[in-house]
Amino acid sequence: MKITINYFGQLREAANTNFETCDCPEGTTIDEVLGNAAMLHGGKFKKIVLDDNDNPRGSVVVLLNGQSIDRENLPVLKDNDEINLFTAIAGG
Amino acid sequence: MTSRPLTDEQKAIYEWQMTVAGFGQDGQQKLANTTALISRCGGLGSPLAYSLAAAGFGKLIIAHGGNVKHSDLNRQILMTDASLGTARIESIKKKLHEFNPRMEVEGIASNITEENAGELVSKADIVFDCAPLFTERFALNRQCVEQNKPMIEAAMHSLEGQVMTIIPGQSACLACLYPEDPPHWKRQFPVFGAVSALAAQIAAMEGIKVISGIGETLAGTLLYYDTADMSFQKIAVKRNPNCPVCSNI
Repeated sequence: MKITINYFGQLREAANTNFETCDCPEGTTIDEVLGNAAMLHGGKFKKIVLDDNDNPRGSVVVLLNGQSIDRENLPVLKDNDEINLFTAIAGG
Repeated sequence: MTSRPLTDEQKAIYEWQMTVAGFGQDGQQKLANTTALISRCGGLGSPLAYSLAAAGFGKLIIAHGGNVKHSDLNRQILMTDASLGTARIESIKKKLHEFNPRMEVEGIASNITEENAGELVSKADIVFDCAPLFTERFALNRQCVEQNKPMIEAAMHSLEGQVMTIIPGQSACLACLYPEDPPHWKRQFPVFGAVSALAAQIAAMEGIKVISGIGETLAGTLLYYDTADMSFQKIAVKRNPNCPVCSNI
């Protein structure tokens, strides 16, 4: 199935792209998509997205088809799903 | 809030905006009777405070510690060259008074902390979160949820900005959006003053809408913009049913 990931803010900079599309087998979870992207881009991107145990950080905001997700009850991905990924920023 | 009628002078000053459809004298009177708390008055808070002063808010409570530094001057438009080395809050009060002497300004020469957040939020009708540190932002968010005060959340980084309106019990709070203190966030980061000013103006309009009741606010919606390509996106943000801050209201 085809999954599109849109990157915003620091993740866009770290991935050096606004979006990418990946072919994933049925049953792929959001966390697996994030993990694959982290392995692909490595470096700063991985540090922002994954913690020291390679689990997605809570500070990375994940929206599936424009809606926030319940991390306790992750939805099953479907063909043509779109994921928005961005990080927390503040003022100053 | 105590309701005071508009004076003839106020009617003359705000004549143009009072003709905005749905706003009128009633909307202006609401702003005039509103106290807003601004957490930090730097790149975001300075232009925000100016716009709230221009719009006719009755009183601003501004919490901002420290002295003016050279590195403030690319974006903190209430700081001036002449105020370098002096308390930021004094420069803020002076500039705002010059611009709108009718508006009351209460200056707090420290930033928001766990200790002072409760009292400062209790004195305000609406809160604007412009702080750079998440400890300050989370403290403010907790108090706004606890005291049922609307909070406008504004942020920027490099060429991008975000604004979201939080109506406790009705829309996602800051902790719904960011469940933990972001480990990657640094106190100093790249940004242009115009990028932070843009977020500030959007936040000011959110505040005007929340108080006056006109338009549709960004409650439950994160507005994200990127000035690199001038793209604006509205991203829906739902309440987290397990949010440690707001799930019980």
